[in-house]
Amino acid sequence: MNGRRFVTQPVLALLIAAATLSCATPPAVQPTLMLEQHSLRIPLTLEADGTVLLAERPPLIGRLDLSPILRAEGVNPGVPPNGKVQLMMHYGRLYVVGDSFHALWEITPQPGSTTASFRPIPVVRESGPGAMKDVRLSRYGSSQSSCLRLDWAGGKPVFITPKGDIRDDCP
Amino acid sequence: MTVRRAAVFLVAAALHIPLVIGAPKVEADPHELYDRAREFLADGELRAAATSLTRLKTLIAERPDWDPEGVFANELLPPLSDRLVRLQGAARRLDEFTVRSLEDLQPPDIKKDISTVRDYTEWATSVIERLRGERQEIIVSSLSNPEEQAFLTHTESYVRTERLLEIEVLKKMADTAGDDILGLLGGDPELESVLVRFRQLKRELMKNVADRDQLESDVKASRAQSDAVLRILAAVVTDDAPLEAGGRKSATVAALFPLFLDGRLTEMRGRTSLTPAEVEMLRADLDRYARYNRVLKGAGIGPDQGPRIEALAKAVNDLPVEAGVLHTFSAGGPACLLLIVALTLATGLTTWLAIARGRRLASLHHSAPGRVPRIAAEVHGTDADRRAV
Repeated sequence: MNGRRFVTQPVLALLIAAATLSCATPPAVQPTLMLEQHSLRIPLTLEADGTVLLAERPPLIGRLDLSPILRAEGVNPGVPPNGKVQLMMHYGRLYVVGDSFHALWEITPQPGSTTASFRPIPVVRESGPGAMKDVRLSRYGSSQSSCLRLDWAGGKPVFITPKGDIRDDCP
Repeated sequence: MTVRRAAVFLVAAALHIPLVIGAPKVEADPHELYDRAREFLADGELRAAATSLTRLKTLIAERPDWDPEGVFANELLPPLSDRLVRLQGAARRLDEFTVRSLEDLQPPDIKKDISTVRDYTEWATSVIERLRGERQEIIVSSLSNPEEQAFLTHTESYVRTERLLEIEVLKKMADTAGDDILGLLGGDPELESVLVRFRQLKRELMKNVADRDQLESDVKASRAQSDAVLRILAAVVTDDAPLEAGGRKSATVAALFPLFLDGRLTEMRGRTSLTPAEVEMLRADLDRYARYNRVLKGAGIGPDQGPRIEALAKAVNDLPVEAGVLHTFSAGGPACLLLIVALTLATGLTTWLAIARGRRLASLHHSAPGRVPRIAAEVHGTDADRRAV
């Protein structure tokens, strides 16, 4: 009697599991399409309040408040060293850098809002005189997986992968 | 072993010398070469534009990593190359037009067609008008885009056509027809006045050409001098600070002065306090900057930098001043120091007198312990005097 019971229980469990799986609604799979979203290098002028106007370089329009980034870099928003930053769109994210910065900043737009999250990607670890100079953003790599390339005077170029990782080469 | 190590060190040091002397500039990327080519085209510098485009093509052909999706190769380069080819074609046609026009530029036969100087003038006018029309036809037929037509006017080829129309036609007339008409009119008393007038016109024409060349030369010299003065002025108003501004064009005082003020403001905002001497010096600087600003603005050299100077003044005023005693007195100068010494001496003297007097009183007190205070003794003395009277 006990042996029969031991056989029946797993079978019953399997039947219940099969029934549950068959009744469950399959998760909705969002259709996708190809989207290449990049830009060339966009030099922008910093306003006194730390914002940049994207309309300075048509066809982009809009405004980007960089004052939190400037504060974090120790750059006074009202008086930038040369008043210029470089912006580049790479796989849907924006990257910003400027002379005297210590990091490349990644800005991730939040769709449907006028806000974006941001994070530094440290490039120069020392402070003060170690800040970058003559910075330049470019795109580099293969068409399947291109990188954002950051050059600056006297430093080795660094590469940002599509996932936002920093590397010494473009995979 | 030591010698070998030293040699290795020397070689290594020698290899690192360039890195120490100056950081290498970042190699030009496709975007920079593309921008340069566009600028050269807009300035009519077709050869330089072609060089930049060739470098760009070579770079992305040899190192495709610089152009991952072929944006430059497939999308940006072709239209720019096409534009360059169109401009080169138009420039070539203008050059051919200039050469052909100069060859064909023959004043009419005087014996058959020309009888007066006025006819010559009319001939020159009609020739210039005709050549202008032909040139415009070449431009319009070669380039349909008005922007490209404007670019073409900056090219050397277009400048040569300008010289053809403004100088060469008249020069040709003066050089060749002048002698002929002199021969034709010579010995004819009725046309003597016309001959005189023609000689006069010829002289005026040649003088005008010479004046024009001289003016061009003067303008160039004046421009160079003006640039030099502006550079000196920029060095003066910025205290010769090393500033970076401008791209291909040289930076002007109008660009450098605000940069300099921004730099000073950054410097002030980086400070936590100032000494009184620094405050005094900075206020003098601010007065100087305000004067510079008035002069530059008044001369129309640059825009008003008043807001920047006010911001700098505010930054200076907002900084706390170090209130050390020594600083305060040293700021007062030698007079203040003398006063301090005098006060110290006076205080010491007073103290010494007080101590001396105290000691004397104490000694008196000890010598007559049972007596009432000294004031009472003096009263007695007074009574004795009264009795004497």
